[in-house]
Amino acid sequence: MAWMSAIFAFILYLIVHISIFRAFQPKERFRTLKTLFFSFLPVVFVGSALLPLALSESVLNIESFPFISGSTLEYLNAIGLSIFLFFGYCTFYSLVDRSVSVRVHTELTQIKNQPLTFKKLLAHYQPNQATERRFSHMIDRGYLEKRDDRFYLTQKGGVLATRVSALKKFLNLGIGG
Amino acid sequence: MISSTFSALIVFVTFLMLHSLVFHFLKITQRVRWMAILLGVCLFLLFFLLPFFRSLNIEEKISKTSQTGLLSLAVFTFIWFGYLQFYFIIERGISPRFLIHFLEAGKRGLTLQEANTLYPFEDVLSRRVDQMVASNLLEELSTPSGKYLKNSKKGQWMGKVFGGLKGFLQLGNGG
Repeated sequence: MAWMSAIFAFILYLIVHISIFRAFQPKERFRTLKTLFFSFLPVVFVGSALLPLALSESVLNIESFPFISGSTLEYLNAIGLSIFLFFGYCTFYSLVDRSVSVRVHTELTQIKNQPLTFKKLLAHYQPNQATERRFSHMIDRGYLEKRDDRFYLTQKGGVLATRVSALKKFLNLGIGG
Repeated sequence: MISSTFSALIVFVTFLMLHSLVFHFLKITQRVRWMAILLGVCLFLLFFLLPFFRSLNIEEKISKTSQTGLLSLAVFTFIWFGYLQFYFIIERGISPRFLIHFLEAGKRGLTLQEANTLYPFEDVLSRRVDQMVASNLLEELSTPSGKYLKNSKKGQWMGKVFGGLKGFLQLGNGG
């Protein structure tokens, strides 16, 4: 029941988030996502108490299904939670490993926080290396291939690029990057 | 249900420790694949942890409503974190942006230089710097010789923490 109410709440969250992004094109997008998330927390808590009353337990209460034993359900629950914790950690890990902003902070810390002009910061960053690193990741994952000095989209990369482009348009995110 | 929540937390803590040790002591190149493998290995711990927590009878000490409420909040939060990961890739990912330029270029493809002209790294950095100044993570100092950037106190703290983590996990400069 807990999973069901969380999933219902998240679907509702997605609907509200998509509607806001399509209708208002908010400038501070992450702040909007965060505010929406915190305003949904009480909904989730109250929903988890009300959902069992609102739904017919004999129809939708997965815990009463004869083919799933309580023990199996506990294992599924623990596996699900571990995987979600892992996804949460992946967000943090990507920030540490790949974020441009984090790299700026660490570069400035390494030079004892001496003030830098934008041009010097850019030179510190070595822009060509940043692009080459991204291309090499995309080649490793099979999205790009290199022939002579040119890079080409693979079929897999083409499918991904089409989906990304459609999502960006749908959510009014601009070209981004 | 609370037994499975505790077991999941211990699996995750074990994963974190293993991941830190492996990344610190070995030079891993396929990092995401290794993280997924380590998680898979840690999930086997559930066969020992769940029976152990069940034997402690914690379920009976906490009301069912509180258990369901807490678990719903946890699941919702984790789904949200997963969605954030997806959202940031779509919104801010540099690679997805390049993929779109490749899609527009079609069969003729792009050289590194052409890609850099279509999407100059200077633009990426400039947009990130603007966002960091707006979030008080960077300070912009205006002097007669021009504008200078430095870490704010919050930014300096982030630089130290993330720099330390990058060093410990052997992630290189990254970014």
